[in-house]
Amino acid sequence: MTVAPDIVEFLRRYPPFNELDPMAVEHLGSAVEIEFHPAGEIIFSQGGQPMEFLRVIRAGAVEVLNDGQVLDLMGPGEMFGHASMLSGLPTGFEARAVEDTLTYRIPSGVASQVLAEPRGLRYLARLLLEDRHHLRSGPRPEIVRDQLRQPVRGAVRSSPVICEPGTTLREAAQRMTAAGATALIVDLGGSLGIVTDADLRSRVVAGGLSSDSPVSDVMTAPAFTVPGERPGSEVLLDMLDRGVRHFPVTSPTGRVIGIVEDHDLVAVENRSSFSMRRAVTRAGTIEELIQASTMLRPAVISMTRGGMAALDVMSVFSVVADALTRRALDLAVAQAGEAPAQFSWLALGSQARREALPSSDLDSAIAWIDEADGDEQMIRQYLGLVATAATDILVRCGFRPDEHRVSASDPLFVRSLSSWRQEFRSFFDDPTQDKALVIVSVLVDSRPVWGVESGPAIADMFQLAPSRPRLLRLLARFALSHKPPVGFMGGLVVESSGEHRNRLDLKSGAMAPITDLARWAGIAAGVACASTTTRLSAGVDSGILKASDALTLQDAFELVCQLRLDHQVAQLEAGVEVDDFVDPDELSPLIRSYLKEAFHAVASVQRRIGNEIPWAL
Amino acid sequence: MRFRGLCDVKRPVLLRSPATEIALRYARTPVAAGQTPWRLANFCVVDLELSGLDARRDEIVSYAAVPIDFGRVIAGDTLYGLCQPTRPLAERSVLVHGIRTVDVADALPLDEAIQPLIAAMAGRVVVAHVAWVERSFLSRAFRRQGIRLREPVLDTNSLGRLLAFERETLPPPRSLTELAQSLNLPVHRQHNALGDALTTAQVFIALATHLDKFSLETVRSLARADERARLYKV
Repeated sequence: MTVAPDIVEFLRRYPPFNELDPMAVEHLGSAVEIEFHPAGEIIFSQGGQPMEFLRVIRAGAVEVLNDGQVLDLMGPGEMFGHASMLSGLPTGFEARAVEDTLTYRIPSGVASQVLAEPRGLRYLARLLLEDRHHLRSGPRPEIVRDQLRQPVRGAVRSSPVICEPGTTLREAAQRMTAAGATALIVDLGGSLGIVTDADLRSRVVAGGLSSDSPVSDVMTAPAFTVPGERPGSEVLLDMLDRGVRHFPVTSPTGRVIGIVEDHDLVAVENRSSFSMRRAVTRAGTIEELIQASTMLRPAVISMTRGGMAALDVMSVFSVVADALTRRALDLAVAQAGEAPAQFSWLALGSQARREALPSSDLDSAIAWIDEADGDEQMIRQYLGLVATAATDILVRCGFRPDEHRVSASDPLFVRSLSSWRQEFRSFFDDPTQDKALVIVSVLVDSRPVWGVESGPAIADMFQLAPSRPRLLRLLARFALSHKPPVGFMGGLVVESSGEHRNRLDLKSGAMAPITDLARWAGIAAGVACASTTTRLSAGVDSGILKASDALTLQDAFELVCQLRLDHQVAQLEAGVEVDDFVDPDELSPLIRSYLKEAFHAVASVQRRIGNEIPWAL
Repeated sequence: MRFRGLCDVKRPVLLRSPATEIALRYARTPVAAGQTPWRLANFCVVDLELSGLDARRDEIVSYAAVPIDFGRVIAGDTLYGLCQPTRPLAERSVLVHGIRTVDVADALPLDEAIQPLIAAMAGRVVVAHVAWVERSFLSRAFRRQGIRLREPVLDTNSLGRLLAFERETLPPPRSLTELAQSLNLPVHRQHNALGDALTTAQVFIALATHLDKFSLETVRSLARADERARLYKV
């Protein structure tokens, strides 16, 4: 008996089969039963018995429906029914043939065995994390068509309305109305201005400006523009960062393609981050700021439930945390009176990397610009006051007080710029000094968020680091000292005592080994403060990391972030305090085994890097 | 001859003492009755590659069988075999199926080579594309085994014509490839017995499913496709 030709070849063209052992795919092929589903046939219904098969579409198309609403359309090579098959849960959706469809049906006995290979698991885990509706029971969110992953030009809906600076406001308003546009571009010959309907409302209707005035009176110029190739997620962050809701999008030749708005990028329920951003900027008192901050956690819930990827939610959360920090400092400084020296406030840790979550501490440090006549005693006293006040406001906004005392209210982290520089030079020259590696590792994750014009970035001093091999070796050793929480026998390592007994620490256990390695690779590549993703790819670009290792770390990182976020969102919904400790038994078996695989993979990357680092100093 | 294609005509399957155990088992294993709804019947799709189309002179060069159980093609249980012809293969036929005399030099002669095919067909209703070809060659080969080829033999070409009449999408497709494409189905390796058998099997379940929408199809009603299609021609 032979396996029908082409079937194995077909499967091998698509994930996860393309990555599986060829013999395993052969084995799958031998279990294939070919089914024909005429257009309109319900292949399986929602909430039905757990599936005993997975199906791969050979030809045709299948719709995935939730309560009659189309969630997804799948074509040749795509797999369905596996979530229910592997989890043993009832089918979470209905599958219906849209066209005459030929599917390959593979019984669970064979399929589960093959997909339990690490590569199959990795693929499935990603699939399940991305298509969250496959996993959840109960009402499922509408899938956000992933605008954030795509180049922003795809989100531009119509051609732009462009006018001259001399165009009257009346005409501008008429043209915007005619085109159904919410913003208008002013061609300034070489640069661009922008007028939004909000400008018209506030400046003309409410501000009493004559409608015969030229648009140049109300426009914002020069307007920030974005190249069409940038991913939606970056543009969204820029919007949040600048508090701007419209960006002209340009082609590679600099031509304006159109305008992208916040709501082109995120679903309605996720736009609360914008209104919040505004409320934060406008908060005139501590109470108003605290009031504004109460919107942050519900926004995290709605973004997550809306299907936004964890890394994107973390970025948005971090941008809003920045905004809250800035406003808290404005208010604290206003309270403390005139500063005896200029200073900048540095966000540290996950906030600096834009990877903060509701459970994150907002770590911080201060660098002041020292001038000859500055009285250090007085400056320290003043900054101590500001730091305490700002930290207090942030804690009242729901952020955690720092447990490890890495904060601007700790004198160790309040220094003049020259003192920071001196300290770093000394650490770079002799990295064996007490605390040198800890402080270097903490301070490389630093980003000025408030103060002297964009602030002196301490992290910039790390550009020297790649030329210090001894420092790099020690940092590598330091980075490798955190082992992933997986035991010799392959089980997940949980806390053995204390409040979180038998729970898995997702942050310092699961995530730290990855972020530590990425940080080291980033420093070695000459990249200072950056996201873990950026550091990993910089590590690959400069030859410090193997591309496959970086991919492993990135995959594991995304998985852990997603689990942390899911866990915290569930806690926020339940109204309990957020943390990073999960009970492994509460994870689905699939996620659990993938987590183990991911930890093993991280550990083997650690071993490989460890072997390559010379231990002699 | 006029009853050919009708399944309820009782004719003995066993002609004389059969040549092999396999042939005997074939003769003793019944196939689904005519009134069986097609989804409940078991089928065996057969495709032959030949040295020519004349059953009295030409020979079977290769064969393939693909089972269909409960409306599903069992892709892992297919069969493919070569037969050694008694005469060298003419260039004309080699051009069609690509099997050269040297390729079949080590193959068993027909009577032995065909045993696995007879075993695979036992208990199953045969399906083929342009079935008179398979029917005539298999009948001869089976007779040499002391058994008669069981009727009916369903023909996807006739079923395709019938569907084209039912749907009023004329003219009907002229080849297996055209037929598969008209049904949005993949076309497997052409003029390879296994590729063609697999294409035919998929075409068969699609056609039977579509025809089911007009009236519930049974083994018998599918066997009468030609007769039904003729009604439209009047």
